[in-house]
Amino acid sequence: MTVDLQDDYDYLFKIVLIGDSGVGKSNLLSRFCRNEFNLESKSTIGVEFATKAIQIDGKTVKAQIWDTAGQERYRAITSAYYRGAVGALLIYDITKHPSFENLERWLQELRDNADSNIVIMLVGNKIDLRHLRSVPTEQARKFSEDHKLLFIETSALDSTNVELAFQTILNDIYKLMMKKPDDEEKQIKQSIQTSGGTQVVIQKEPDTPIKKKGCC
Amino acid sequence: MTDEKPKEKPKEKINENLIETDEKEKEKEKENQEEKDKEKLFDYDRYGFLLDKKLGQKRTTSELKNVQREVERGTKWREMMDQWEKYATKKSGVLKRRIRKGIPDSFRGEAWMKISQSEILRDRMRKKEGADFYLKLLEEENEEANAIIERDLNRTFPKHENYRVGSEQKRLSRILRAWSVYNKTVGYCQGMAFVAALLLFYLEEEDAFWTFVVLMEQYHMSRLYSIGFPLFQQQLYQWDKLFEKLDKKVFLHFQEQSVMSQMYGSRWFLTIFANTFSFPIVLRIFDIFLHEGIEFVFHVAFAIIKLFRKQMLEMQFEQLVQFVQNINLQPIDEDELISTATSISIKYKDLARWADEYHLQQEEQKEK
Repeated sequence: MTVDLQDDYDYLFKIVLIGDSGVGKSNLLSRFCRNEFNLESKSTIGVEFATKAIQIDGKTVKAQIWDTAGQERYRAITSAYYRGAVGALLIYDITKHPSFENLERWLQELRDNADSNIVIMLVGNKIDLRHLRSVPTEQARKFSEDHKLLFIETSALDSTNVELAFQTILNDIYKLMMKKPDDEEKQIKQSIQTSGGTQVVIQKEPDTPIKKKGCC
Repeated sequence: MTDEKPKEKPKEKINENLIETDEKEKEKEKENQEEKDKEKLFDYDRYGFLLDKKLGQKRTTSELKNVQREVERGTKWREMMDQWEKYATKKSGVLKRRIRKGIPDSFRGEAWMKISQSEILRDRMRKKEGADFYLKLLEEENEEANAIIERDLNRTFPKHENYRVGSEQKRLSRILRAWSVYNKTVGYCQGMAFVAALLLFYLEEEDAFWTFVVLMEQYHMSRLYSIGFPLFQQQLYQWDKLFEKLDKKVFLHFQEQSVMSQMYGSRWFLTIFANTFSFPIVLRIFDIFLHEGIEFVFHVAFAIIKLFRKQMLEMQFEQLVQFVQNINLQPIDEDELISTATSISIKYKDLARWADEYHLQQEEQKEK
């Protein structure tokens, strides 16, 4: 378990990992947060949670990441975690075409349950298995462009692009937040607070200690 | 000549020494090899689970003690098995006490069958549908379920030799597929594989299947897993009430930190802790669950709070969530956990009242 000094950050972003069962969500998370890959990993039952802090523009940005079970019926439990999330990694397995075909349904799930301004990144995982590839990069890229998603291909097994994927989405969220005029930002915050009950994007004010809250 | 002799002698001696050291080294090497072989053997615990050396896991003396203890209990258990009716009725107190101490491993399968009474269901269904009913179930397909079952096979007890190399994966797959055909409405739900695999450790395939059916239908587990997770949602409601009643201080601390029961409840309740604890503890919990019912999960849940409340009270949100989600990383003595769990007094009247409350709320929401 990582024992973080919890106050040691400037921004806190909540991210969710979603996608079909077995596409590698949990291993992407453990690769990013602990630099671990587990060949003997268990199926995720419900939700799991991990954090990692990175630097952007000299600021410490902390990601609170929720990893979710992939089976469809689990959305009854996991969709509660979309609320208040500012980013989502929508993951498919490049060797399993059905996991790509299901992306539309996952996007609908996000539209129904997440905040409208959530940043979504499409992630094609398992590129180490190139000989088994069934989703061409170009097909996925086109899908991401059509739906205005960020796009990257990764391998949690050999680490390719994992760090980059998380950094890119966190950067994007950070930039988006900087761009927003104050009142709009407030509005967003408010909507998050009222819908999720807890504050997720937190910018620290000098001298005002902020109580950290999780959310669901 | 006389001169040479002394020379020769030391030579011989040297040679002898050489031979000796040679032999000693060989012996040492042999010992080393034996030591290594032993270490290799000890890569697995007594149940066949791979020990993680990085985490400093090794066979413990308490494990050997447990084996000793079980051998000593064997006679009592044999007698009890042979007179099951008597112990299940007139001497149920003795039975309960002995199950709480842990069913000896060599009796586990037999005892699980007797406690769950799955033979009755098996025989009834065979009579009704034919002796090859189980095989007939396997001829049908539930395609939607199959895809997810296949993906879970090597992710269920992945550290166990059987599931690592895959010899048991086929049997596990068949049980789950048969279930998803037997009850198409509930079908397969992630989490079930842990329960089925647990049964397969101790039971023949078809017996494991019928015991699984009994768990789903008579122990109400199918309502844990069916669409919308009705029993699980109810359990979360009951757990919140119980938690508040039994330890308000820790409960409020969880609330203050926004650590909700659904964040860890799925890992705890959806597999009767089979996805949570180390295997010896999982077995002990499962023994008692089979005999005393699904409410036992609340005893275990509160035992966790009781054992770790001091640490928990010092933790903030992130640390606390990870702590309760990964409670298996804490050193837990199985006897201590079980004796704590069984000593907690929970009024089943309360649980029933909270269940009613929950359903009333659900209905009110529906009406709105």
